Amino acid sequence: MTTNNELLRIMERISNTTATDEEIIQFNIWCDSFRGTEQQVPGLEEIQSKVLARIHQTINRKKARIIPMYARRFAAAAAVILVVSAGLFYYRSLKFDQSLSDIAKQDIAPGSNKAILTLGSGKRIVLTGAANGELAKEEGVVITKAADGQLIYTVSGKDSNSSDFNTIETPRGGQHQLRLPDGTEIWLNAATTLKYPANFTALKERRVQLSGEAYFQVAKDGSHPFIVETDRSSVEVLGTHFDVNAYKDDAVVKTTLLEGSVKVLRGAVVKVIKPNQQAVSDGGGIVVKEVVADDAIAWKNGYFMFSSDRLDNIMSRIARWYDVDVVYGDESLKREIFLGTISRYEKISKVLRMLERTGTVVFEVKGNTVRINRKE
Amino acid sequence: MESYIDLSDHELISLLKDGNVGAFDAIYHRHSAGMYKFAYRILKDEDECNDVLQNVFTWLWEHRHNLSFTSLQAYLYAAVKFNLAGVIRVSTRRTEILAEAPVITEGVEDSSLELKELMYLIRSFTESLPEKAREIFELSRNQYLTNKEIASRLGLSEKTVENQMTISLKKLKAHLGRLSFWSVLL
Repeated sequence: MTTNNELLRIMERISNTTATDEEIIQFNIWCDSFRGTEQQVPGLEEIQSKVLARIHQTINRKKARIIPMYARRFAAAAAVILVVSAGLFYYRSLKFDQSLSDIAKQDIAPGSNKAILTLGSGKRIVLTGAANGELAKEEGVVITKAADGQLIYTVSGKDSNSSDFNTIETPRGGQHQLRLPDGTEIWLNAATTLKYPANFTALKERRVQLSGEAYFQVAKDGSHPFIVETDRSSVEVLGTHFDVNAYKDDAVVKTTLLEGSVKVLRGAVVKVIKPNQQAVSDGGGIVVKEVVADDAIAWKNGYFMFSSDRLDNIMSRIARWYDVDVVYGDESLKREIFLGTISRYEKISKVLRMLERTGTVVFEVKGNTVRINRKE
Repeated sequence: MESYIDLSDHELISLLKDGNVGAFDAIYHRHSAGMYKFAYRILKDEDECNDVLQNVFTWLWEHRHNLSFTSLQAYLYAAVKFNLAGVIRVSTRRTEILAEAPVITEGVEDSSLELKELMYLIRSFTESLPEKAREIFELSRNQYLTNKEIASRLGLSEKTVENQMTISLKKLKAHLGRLSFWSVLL
């Protein structure tokens, strides 16, 4: 019978690989002795999702250098600090256009961290990966780049009007992450615009406007409700994790909840949703569905994920991320259902080839256009 | 894209080696609940178990190119056990955890595969060391010799042995990385 001290010593030797065979056997028996009784873990599914998200963050951090996330707390002060994670930045041009001749011969690269920040004054700042140190100083905004790639924006609260708004905008093929002074983290998908007050801390409500898609991790603050307004609904939360998909060219606005609880409002209609529920609002009212929340936020973890999605929905996501146009040789193809997962950071050919493996469709890429035909 | 649910562990691993994230997720969804419950039975703490799960799967992804085992499930549970050793060692609740152990029963057959994988996991590190360093490391491990005794036996200075062990242990940390928990190593 092994004493507790002996066990601890064995565990130490196992950790540093100096354990003998006998010690490993003893440890293994000790572990196995716990088996046999059924163990209930409350909330296991939520835990599983949460941990998987963390794993993906760690993996993607190394793959595409998208995050680092700061765990700093911000003191409420006159200076409003915006932390925007830099990761993989590159600067093409203010119009974000692509050279067509390259693409005809080569593959189409996936999106990356690109955005434009417009201040209340109208001044536009293109976010770019320049050298470390101070990058720009514009009208009360000082932008510096820290050694680990983070871009830090400091806005002096004294100068800005409390009614001033800042806008951050990602183009097609872009994405970005930012952190508001209250600690709320927001991931913006491609072709997305987010408007938020410049002097956040002084207001009663934390109200932002969204067009496009963003994933929110709202810092808890019971006395200042966080509200996301879109053209067809608004979402009111106190502190929670959710995704809002509100592209103007989509028929509906979808709000998907991962953690916490939110109110979705459209005119006079108010619906409260729980985790793994999605509120869908169109011109009329709001419908609540049960969904796999992971699918809705897979983009923020760095991949496309569809559990039985129509091809046209899948292709519109691909089109925004790779900044391509899609042409259907056969309209009925739009309703074909696909299922699967693939990293967002692959070139487009890899994604399309995987869709082709189902034997249903065939793709042709010419310049910026993707043609889809039915496979004979 | 096909449904990963229908693929065998073996097929999923094959895809995983190609960097297929969907396969990785499928492996996670297939095995993580069992692994978590197993760890929870022993640790009885959500945060610590979350760390174990995160460590093992992140490690799986990072080492996807050189995975080698007979049974994926046995391998995963072996990794969990290995990680548990490290977690319990440094846990502020270790006395509580150790006190919970049920009476040790003999002959728990079903984990012989896990034992094999656990041994392999632990041994594979020393197998990667250069000869002299390995000799020193194994003398320390198998025969419980002190640095002084090893130095005397191999005709080296005690300082050399100390340095070699330091380097080897640093390599070990790099190799087993997040699967091991190091508070004070040396």
